[in-house]
Amino acid sequence: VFDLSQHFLSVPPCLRSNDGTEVNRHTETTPSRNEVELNGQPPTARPPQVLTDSEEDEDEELTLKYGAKHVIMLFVPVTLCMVVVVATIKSVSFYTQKDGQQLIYTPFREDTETVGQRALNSMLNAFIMIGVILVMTLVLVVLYKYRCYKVIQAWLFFSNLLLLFFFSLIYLGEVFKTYNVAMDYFTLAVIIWNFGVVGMICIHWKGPLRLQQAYLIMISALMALVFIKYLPEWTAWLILAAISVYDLLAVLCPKGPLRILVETAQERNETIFPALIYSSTVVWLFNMADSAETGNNSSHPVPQQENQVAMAPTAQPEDDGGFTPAWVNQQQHQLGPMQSSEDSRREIQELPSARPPPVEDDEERGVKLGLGDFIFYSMLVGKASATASGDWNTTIACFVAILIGLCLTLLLLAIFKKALPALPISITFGLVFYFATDNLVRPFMDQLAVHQFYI
Amino acid sequence: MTLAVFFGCAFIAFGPAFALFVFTVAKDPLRVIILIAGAFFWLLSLLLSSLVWFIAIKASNSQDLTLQRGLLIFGVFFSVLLQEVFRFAYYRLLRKATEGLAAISDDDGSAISVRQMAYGKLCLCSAENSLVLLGFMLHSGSLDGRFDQMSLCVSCAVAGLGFGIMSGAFSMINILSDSLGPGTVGIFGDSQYYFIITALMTLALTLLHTFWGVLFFEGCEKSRWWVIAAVVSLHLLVAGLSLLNPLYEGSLPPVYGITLLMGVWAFFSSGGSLHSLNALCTRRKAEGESS
Repeated sequence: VFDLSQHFLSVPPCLRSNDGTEVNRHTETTPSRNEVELNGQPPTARPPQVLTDSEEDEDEELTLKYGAKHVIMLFVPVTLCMVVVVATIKSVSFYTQKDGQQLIYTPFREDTETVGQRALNSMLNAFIMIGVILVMTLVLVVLYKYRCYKVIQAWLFFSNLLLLFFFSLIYLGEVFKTYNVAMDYFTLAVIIWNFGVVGMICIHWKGPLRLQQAYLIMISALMALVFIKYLPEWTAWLILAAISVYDLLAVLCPKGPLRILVETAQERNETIFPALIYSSTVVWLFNMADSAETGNNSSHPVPQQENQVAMAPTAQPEDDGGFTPAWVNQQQHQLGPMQSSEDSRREIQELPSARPPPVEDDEERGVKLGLGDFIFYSMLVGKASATASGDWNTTIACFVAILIGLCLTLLLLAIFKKALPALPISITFGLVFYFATDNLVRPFMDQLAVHQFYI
Repeated sequence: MTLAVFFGCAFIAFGPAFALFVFTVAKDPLRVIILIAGAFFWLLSLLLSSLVWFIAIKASNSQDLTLQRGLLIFGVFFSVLLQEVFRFAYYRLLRKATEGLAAISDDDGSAISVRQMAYGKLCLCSAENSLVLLGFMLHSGSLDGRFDQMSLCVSCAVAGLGFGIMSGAFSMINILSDSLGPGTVGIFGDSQYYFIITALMTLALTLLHTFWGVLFFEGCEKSRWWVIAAVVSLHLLVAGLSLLNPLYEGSLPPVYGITLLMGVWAFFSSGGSLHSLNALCTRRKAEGESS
């Protein structure tokens, strides 16, 4: 039994739009507060906020260029992560076996005599888990406020180490067992060593973009698999529901920890939690052209350590390699809505990405998404494939529901342009479709298949 | 036998749909989103219709087999009707999003000035706004930014494909996963062609949904209500023909005949002609000769 305490630093996801985005790129002004308020208000009797804020058409078109392409840039990695999780669940039986072990954060057992007792236990488990998440978020906010960046970094580093080496060792072992592959320890050691070290380098430092993305997807999938294995049935569903609600509250309430985090980072003109983010573009190429404009501080980017599984800092390495914090801040100012979801840094940002032709107003933006979103989406779909008796229909339904939720979330972000939680819509759709498909659609489709009727 | 059946049926059922996806949808992010949204709408219709069926089942006597079968048939037809309703709803959504953008776009179509959006060409209801913004957001990442009839027609075809793929997936994938395991088809006296017939029906339905998407659009755009009525009744007819299973001779050839008919009709109604087909062939030949 391993201690997972390092991994449960969860801050629920939140989607955030960068309030400083309306600033004209040629004037280095900090986002003014009234602009922030303006952006923060939902559109009332006028056309959407996105339209009326900035002065120049160029900026307007910049903010609106974020569109279908970015939705697809998120669809693909989310789909890949889900595919990995579902493929593992379907083939490796280890992750669906209940060994009786549970995480220390869910101490109550669900194998009780009465249904009422079971419900009570699972609610208590979910409560404790959300409490742990809340505490971790607050610790993170405090650490961030008092600039204890080193502590956060070390925390993150160690968690990633555990994940990349230990969890992947277990995963590989189980895969070998499933396919009855004989493997000696020496070869295994070499494989795991290389996998882990390359992963740490790619994630914490520099590496090819695709490799980094692949590692992030793999560690999200690993974490989702751990949750699927070690969380008991009802607890898992309740946690999914509860974390969506928590996310909603933490991001939208004025005193919510995530909101405080976001605002603190904005005040300091720092990137918010550059770690633990999946990035779809390489940003450093563009940096070279623009870094002359910024020239400011050398504040260290705070690796964001939120979530459950302390994922390694991703897109922004701490040292240079092109991504100076100053540059990243500047990019944030230029960008359109930035979404950050808590929960291990779920941020969806837009960063201009490099393109060979010189970029004027036609930059191609990248999108970022925090790893916690990946984890919870994959966890939902994985559980659907593991436990649903409707089998593949339920899995497909949850998959489509989550993708549509993601699309709607991005649309809402484009409309409201302020901090929005990333999980609620997708998880709600996913849960509704899971229970509905499993209980209603499955018997219907089974009957149709038996008689070979087609609708 | 199992792996061969699995791959064979999978390719039969999903091959054309996959080809359509790769060649026409995958290149344009907007179309991918429309596809997934189409799948979502189909799923919603299925959910509601199975809810109704489930309530009917629970309220009835579960021992009475003919009643159960009758309720299932009722469920089939109700589901078909609901699918068409949702197809109409999705068409309205697509049209609204496209229209709103077309109304405010410049003549060259591609550069949408936000200011134009802001100043007065929109209705002030926020639902309309979000639809327009949805349309804009979707279009701004797409390859062709023209908001015209053509793009709406293509969107409806893609939406139909989304319906078809989802319908096919729900019919086929459980059966495919069963075909991977050991077993003998029809060991209790049922037909041994179960898998292959399922695959062929799934293929037919996927293509039919795509064609119906195009025709539905035609009917709604040109207010030819008889076209819509024809689409709905043909869908009911196809579902009804499938009720003849396992008398496969009665169900499969007519369904394929209808598919062919729909394909031809959709081709001509979306602007194709013998001339364009001819031009396509001769251009291919010319390209082949010149290269």
